[in-house]
Amino acid sequence: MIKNTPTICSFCSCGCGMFVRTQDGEARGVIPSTTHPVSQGRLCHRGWNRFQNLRSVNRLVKPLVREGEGMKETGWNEALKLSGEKIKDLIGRHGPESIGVIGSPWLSNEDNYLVSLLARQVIGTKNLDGSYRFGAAAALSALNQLFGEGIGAVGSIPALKESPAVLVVGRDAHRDFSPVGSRVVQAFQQGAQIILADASAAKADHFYKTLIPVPADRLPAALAAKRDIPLGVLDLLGKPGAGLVFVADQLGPSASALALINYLIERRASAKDLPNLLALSRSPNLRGAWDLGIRPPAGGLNLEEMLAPESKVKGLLVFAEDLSVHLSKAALLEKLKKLDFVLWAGRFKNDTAKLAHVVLPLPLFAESEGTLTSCEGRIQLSRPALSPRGESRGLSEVLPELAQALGKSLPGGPAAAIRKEIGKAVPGYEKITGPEVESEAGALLAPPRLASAPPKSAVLPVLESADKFLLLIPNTLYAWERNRMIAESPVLYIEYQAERPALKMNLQDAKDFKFRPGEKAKIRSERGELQVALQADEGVPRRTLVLSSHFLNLVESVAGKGEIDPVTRSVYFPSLLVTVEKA
Amino acid sequence: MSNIYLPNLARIIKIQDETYDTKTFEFEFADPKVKQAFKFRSGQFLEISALGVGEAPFGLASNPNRPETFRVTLRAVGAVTWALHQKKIGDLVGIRGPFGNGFPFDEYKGKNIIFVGGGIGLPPLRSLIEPMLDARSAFKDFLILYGARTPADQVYQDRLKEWEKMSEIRFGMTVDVGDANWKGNVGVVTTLFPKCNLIVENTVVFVCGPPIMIRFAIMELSKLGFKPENIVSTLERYMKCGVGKCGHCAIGHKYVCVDGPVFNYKEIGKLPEKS
Amino acid sequence: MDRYILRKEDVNRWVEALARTQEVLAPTRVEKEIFFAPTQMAVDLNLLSGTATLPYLPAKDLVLPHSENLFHFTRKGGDYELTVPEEKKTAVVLGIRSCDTSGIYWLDKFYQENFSDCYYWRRRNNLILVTMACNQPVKNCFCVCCEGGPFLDSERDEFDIQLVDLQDSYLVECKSSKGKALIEANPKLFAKADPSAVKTREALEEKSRNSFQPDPTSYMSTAIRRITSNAVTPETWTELGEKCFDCGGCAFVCPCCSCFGVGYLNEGEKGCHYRFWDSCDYSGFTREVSGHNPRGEKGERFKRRFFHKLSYQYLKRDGRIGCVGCGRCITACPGEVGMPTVVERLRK
Repeated sequence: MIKNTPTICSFCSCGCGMFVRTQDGEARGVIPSTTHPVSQGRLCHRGWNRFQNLRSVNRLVKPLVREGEGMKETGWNEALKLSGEKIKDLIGRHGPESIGVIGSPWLSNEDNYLVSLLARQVIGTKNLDGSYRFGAAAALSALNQLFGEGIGAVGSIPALKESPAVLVVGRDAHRDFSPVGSRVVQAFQQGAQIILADASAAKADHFYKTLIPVPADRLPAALAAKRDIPLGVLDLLGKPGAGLVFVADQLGPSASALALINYLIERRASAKDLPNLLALSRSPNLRGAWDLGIRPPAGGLNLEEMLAPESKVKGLLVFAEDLSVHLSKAALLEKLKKLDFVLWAGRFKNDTAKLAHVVLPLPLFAESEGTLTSCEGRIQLSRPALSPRGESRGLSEVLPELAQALGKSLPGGPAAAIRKEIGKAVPGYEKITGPEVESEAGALLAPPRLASAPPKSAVLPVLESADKFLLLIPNTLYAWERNRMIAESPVLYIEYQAERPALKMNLQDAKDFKFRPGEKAKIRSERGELQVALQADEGVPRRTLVLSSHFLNLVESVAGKGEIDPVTRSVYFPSLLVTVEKA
Repeated sequence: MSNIYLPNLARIIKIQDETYDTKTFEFEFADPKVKQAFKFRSGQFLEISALGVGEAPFGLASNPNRPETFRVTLRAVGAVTWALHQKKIGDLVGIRGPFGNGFPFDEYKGKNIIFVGGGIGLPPLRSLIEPMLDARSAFKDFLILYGARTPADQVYQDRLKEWEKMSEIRFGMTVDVGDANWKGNVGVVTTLFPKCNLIVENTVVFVCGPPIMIRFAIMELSKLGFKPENIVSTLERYMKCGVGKCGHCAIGHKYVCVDGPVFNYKEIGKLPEKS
Repeated sequence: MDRYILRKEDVNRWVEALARTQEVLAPTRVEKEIFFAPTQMAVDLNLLSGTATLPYLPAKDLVLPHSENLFHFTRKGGDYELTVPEEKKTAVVLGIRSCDTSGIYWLDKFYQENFSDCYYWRRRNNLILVTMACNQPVKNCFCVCCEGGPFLDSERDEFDIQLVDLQDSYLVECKSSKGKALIEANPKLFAKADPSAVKTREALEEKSRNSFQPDPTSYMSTAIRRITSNAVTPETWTELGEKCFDCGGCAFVCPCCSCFGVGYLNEGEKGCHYRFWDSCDYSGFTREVSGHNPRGEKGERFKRRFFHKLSYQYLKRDGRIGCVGCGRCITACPGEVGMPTVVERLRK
């Protein structure tokens, strides 16, 4: 008999309601919830195929410890005892700040809360962060600057349908997040004006009124100069319900994110109606991890600083983050490999697990109970449809035992008990304790309240050139093809092909240069130069080049050390002007 | 009702390295009853699985007149072919099939025959060449043309040498780029056309190879006067079930795994999609 | 064909009798969604009435589930042992709607031509379908344009049993021997139908057919002609394709769509091959290992799906169009390009 478990999708930050269908302990299928406010009977292809990764055979099922060049299976007691000894040893010799702790937007609120307590109270270190440091930290910091520590429910997916105008930053914000894209289409059908800002789109779909061909990092300057936007549309962006939709993983630096979000806030016609801000993510609990404090308090090191060659960090406890694919610089991975102790807790076998000294198996979302905070600020309960695979155990059991091994204590217990603690400790999360969280529509965080006016900061100018090309370096650290749950699903694995390390160029431009297949191009900026294979693509606009950020060595060759974002204290690579010639 | 998705197990009895990335495998069914009952037609294909890794379609490349064992030639390009390439003699694979329409052998009797093979397009053609040679007298003029990128990319090199020596057939070979030892024709396979006196009347031409080679070959053949219904090829598509159910290989209202993979160019012209 | 009257107050006793020898699947509310769930006694009569109520999933889920295991294998030395999972339960599907039943018949034709699919048939042969006719369509229904309903045709269609809602009772039309066996489970509950009941049934069908809103999909035949004669421009397909999100939802909820993919699991000494619903909307559906993709453009895929469902060639091949007008694609499509929207667009 098929069992239908009502739960929340765990791929992205939209938080669609769905049922996971299981039989005989195997995941068999899914269906969307027709009454859930976000899904409304619809799912994207990730949601529809979610059940496939639940059958993966590449799961971690037993704790592992490093033995020589390989890993050996062991029991939980030994693994936690060993971890306790190693951590105590490092603290004893180098102090608590020699330990770094990494939480994750791929963990529930309850798990992230325990991870932050582990860092602050049990170990006593301020070095706490997540891999979104290299991406969404910019936009989330901007939201904190505008709305204070409790960002609140800044966006609404259902309400997007009623927007008079929507500014979509990056075509992916619409295409890749179907509940949002669906409301954009519906808004269009009701007469809304939709603007697309995207420098990597050669043409805009027919429902976009206008295309601003400027990259997101330079968009505020373009908006201020009123480029490419009909005046009437700019006014509509100030009307109540106007929407701003962007992929938080890709919007940086924080000054640009702040200026962009503030652009709509400043133009609003009515003081009490804030615009509809949807900061989307390709992770299910970006807001939850950030709101629950998976970031360094004052005096603490962020992830980039922890893995800097000269940092004091000697041990890293990594929870559900595949760091080997989510780092912004090649040098950080080198440091990770040289640490004295790495604890890695996660679900799938991957390269980060291979680097660790102790590996702990965790259950997937569909195997445990936990709440997730969606991009709207909606706290929803994800329910287990299957038992934890093999000997995997949830952090609510594991972390108190690890604390014990360190001679301290941590609250554990069922998820509901941990939610009570969160409700007391985290600003804006009071509702997480109540029954609303278990209802279909979840519990919305408090409405956002503007803090004092944010400081004006210099924004990046729009780049113009008669003869040079615009090089875009999109932040692809959270790209789907680097996501394990995608790789473990036979259908989704085919849908998201791994990118080739190549530079994308407009097809006609490539022909004009007479580039033949296989020929390399030499591109030069004021910071460096690079010889790289070309990939001609009709979808890329003229005089534009695209180089994915995760090809770290290629990016650093042409863009040098990049820039440091003073707010997030991490590196970012702004769009650049480059010359192009045959290699 | 037989289970069309359940494979029969077959053992690898011989592995031949053809090129640096291509091997020919010879199989024999593990169950003697299955081995006894197995029959196939030229041009049909098998769904071969490395159990737990994947399954893919491969054209049969051996003589249907001797079905006690059967051969396929495959290049390592993806997960399934890589897994098969790691296997050793004695290892088991899953076999489903034979599927596909195959070549209508008897329709070709009494005609002149031309084979134009390119690179790894020769294996499926071989399943037709061999039985035709067994019944040589049923056909009139017999010409085999084979082109490869380089001498190292040729498959069935031993058999090519034998065809070269056979007096009852005409044979032409070429490579795009020669090497130090190559003394034969250099140029794409269509460069052999003017040298080999292709007879147009009452002839059927079989073309198989990389898409670009097929395109140029058809162009040249059309110029020489060959009609589309007399040019025959095998269409390639991503396939999963091989029995016309999963939908992956469907073009228009035809399923390549059931209505094909053998099509003549008049039929291909009517399909709504370019391949 | 035999006709009986079954009083609504006797339905649960019938179900009880049936449940003694087989599973009875009836529409049941689970957390606001409707599923076909095993029932032993009490049927929700609100879901077994003349008003169209559809489970989110089409009945094809009962014969071709979202995913199913094809076989398991175990390594034994140098050998493998393959086992096929058992599937033996017989079930009565009580309250399936005409559109879903038409969809099942469509799948029946497809799953036996060329090669017969035993996984499909061992489920199908064990199902007895008791169709609930719709006196009152709901918003998304357009079965009347597609020969998918609202009633099964008592003369032309082959079916097991059709129920027609006569307010306090049902008219029970029984056409097959399997259906007859269900009546025999508790024959006392069934009284022979008199001619006035048959007249009421005919009037109800007429009224139902006339109560569909004047709908874009009544232009179904125009759309079919346009597609078949290649009168639809590539720009139209591109424009429609721009709204499509490649989610696959339309193919999954469609009673007539049947494409599937195969997955492989290998856990050292054992493993499994399984199949699952796939969609031709997915960009990887036709991508070959070389990377070449004949339907790489979204507009191309979108066009192919509708061509496949509506085109005259499809009609020629299979006898009817691949759409029963259930309206589920309207619910499932984020881009608002379900069948009726497309048909209306093609008409222009």
